[in-house]
Amino acid sequence: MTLTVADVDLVTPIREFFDRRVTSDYRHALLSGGGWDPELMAELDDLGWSELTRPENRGGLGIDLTAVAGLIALVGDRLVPGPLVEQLILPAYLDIPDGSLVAFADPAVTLDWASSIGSVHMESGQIQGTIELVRFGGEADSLVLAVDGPDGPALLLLPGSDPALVLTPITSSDPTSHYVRLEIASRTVADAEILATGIEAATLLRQIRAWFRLLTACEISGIARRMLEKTVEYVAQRQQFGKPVGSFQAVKHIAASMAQAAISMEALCEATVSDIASAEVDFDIEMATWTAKAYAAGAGRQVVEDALQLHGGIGFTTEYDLHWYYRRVLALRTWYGDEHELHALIGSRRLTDGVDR
Amino acid sequence: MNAVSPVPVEQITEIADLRREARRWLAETEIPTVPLELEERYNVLRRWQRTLFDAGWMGLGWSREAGGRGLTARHQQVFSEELARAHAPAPIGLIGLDVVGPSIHRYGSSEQRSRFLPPLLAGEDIWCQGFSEPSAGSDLASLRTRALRHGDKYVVNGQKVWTSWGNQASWCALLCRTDPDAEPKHAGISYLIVDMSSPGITVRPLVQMTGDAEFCEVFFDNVEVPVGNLVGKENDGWRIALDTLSQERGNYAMRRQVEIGWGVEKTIDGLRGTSLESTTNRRISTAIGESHVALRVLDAQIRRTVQRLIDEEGPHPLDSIDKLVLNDAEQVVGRALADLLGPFRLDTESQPLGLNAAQLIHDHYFSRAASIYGGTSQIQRNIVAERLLGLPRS
Repeated sequence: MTLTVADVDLVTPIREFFDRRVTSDYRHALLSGGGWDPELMAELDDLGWSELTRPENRGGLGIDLTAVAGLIALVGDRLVPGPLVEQLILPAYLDIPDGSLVAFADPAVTLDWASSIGSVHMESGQIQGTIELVRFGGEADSLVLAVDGPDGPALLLLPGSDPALVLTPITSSDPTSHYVRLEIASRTVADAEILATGIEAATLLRQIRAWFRLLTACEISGIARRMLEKTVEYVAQRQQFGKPVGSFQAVKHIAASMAQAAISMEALCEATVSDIASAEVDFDIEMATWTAKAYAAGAGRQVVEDALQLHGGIGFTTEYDLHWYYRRVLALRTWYGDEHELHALIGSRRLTDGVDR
Repeated sequence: MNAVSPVPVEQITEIADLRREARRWLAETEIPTVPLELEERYNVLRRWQRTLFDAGWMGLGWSREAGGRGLTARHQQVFSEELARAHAPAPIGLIGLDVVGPSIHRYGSSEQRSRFLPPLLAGEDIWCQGFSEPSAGSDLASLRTRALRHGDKYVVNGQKVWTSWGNQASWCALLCRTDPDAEPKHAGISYLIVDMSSPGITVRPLVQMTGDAEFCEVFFDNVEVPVGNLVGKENDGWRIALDTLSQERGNYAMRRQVEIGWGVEKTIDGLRGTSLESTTNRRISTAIGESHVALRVLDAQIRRTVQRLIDEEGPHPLDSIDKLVLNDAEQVVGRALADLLGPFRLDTESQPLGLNAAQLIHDHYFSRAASIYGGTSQIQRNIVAERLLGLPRS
């Protein structure tokens, strides 16, 4: 049986955990010091984070991914560091060992920079190549690797500690994720390490990437909601010219535009999740998630920039936490395509397929 | 005469059945092509409304007494979606269907409902809305058109402006001042139904940037209106108007979503019909993609609006978000598609890349009105900031 969003309230217990555990002081100390806390991830795992979406026949709770969008919005709202999205999406589709922290080495995080991001090639059981950006590749116990080859795409599961995988840490502008460069000179792949090949791999990749895109949009949406609330609170109390700056129309109109964008992002994520949940066989999950991500990439950045503007000078300091949100949204908007990349992709599919779904 | 047999109304209440039946009916029905020229467009759309009415598709969410089908806003939305899928236009009498109709439906007397609403649904009566005045635009409550009661009549004097379809309408829903001393000003406004053929009414069309002349100035010179044409109570017109505008958002946005989506489809058809180049050109695909996203954002917003309509929530500051989202969809799409004309925008009869320059230019101009009519974007943002976000009044 698959649980859906209507069946279970996942958000409340996790929110209570974050209230207690991811306090403003904690976050400030953590993000200032590099933004990775294996303890936090372990505690979330104890709460069952990685088991949520794992199918029941693999020992998980078998909750559908359509039910976790709210959790990821909460992660955005609280700016929680760690490979949280990975631990929800990958076990839902792939046989990931229980208790193993997993990263996804996927060159398709960008299309416009496809020639720069690299790729890993598999031929006759040998893999070699480079992927320039692998999120949490250095922290993960195992890596899911998307490779290509003469027999089409394949998905591999490799140990993160394998000496044939050269992982070079990257200094990143993303405050809540770590990245490595992955280089493989040559390595033989054992049959047991191959999760899927051919059409099966292509289908899985299509779905996994769609979910990365959609949950990234949901995370941005959570950030936007947080930024709106924080900004409204600030402009209502900050006094200039003898009254709250929020009483000036120029300020009000920016805040109203933030509200519009934040609400639109929530509505679009909600509609996309609901469409996927009730999808017919021919539903184009790629179009739906490209669309959600394209909008969130543009609108999300706008909301945080407006928040910075309305906070005045204080928002520009590192003592205040706005800059973390801004950096995070700038990181997320590029991950699996920003609006420039996705608008072209969406338009191109509309023009060639022509089917509006 | 319409050859298509009416839908067996009693049998359709389930959404899925309604959708299937709508699809079947639309597949069997000749869908009209909408001319660009206003007068021809008006006639074609009016006939189309009659066809829809005869087949039982008008007023799905309205009561039986009003000539409707007694279903819900969700049913209405599903039918609008199917119209879009079939590339069929929306009916003509939008002011009546979206704005005036719901007000009479909710606040009018039983006699008013059964008298005015069935011909409105059928497209026999076209309605206009006399709200804005030369000195009362955004500050609508300061309107000055005066209605003085003499026995069983009101005598109306004043001027309205931006009255859509004023020259075609047989009836006008008029906001007028019945108490000049009322404080606040909106407490002295009443909602009257005025016969547009009454002596003393002069209508002067205003030609818009689009070339259309659907907007009019309407002058009232000692126009007599029977007291029985008062909707609701005297001096209670403001509440009716606000409620109406909130109703309008949902229905109007649904229809515009259909129409804008239809424009995008036609543009795609044109581009696909010409050359391979237009499907691989990044600038073109970006414009189509941007339009697609804007429409999806609107669609997601409308689903929430429809839920509020189904839950029968009254006016809410979220209505202003709806309006702003619609503005953006209108203007993002209008601009993106018209930009595909490049310099051929200068040749209004051209068809570069299979695009209809005249139509795209018209639609682009029209999109600029979206952030003005029905309350400007600035007014909407004030409402959002003060009533949704709770920021202090200036």
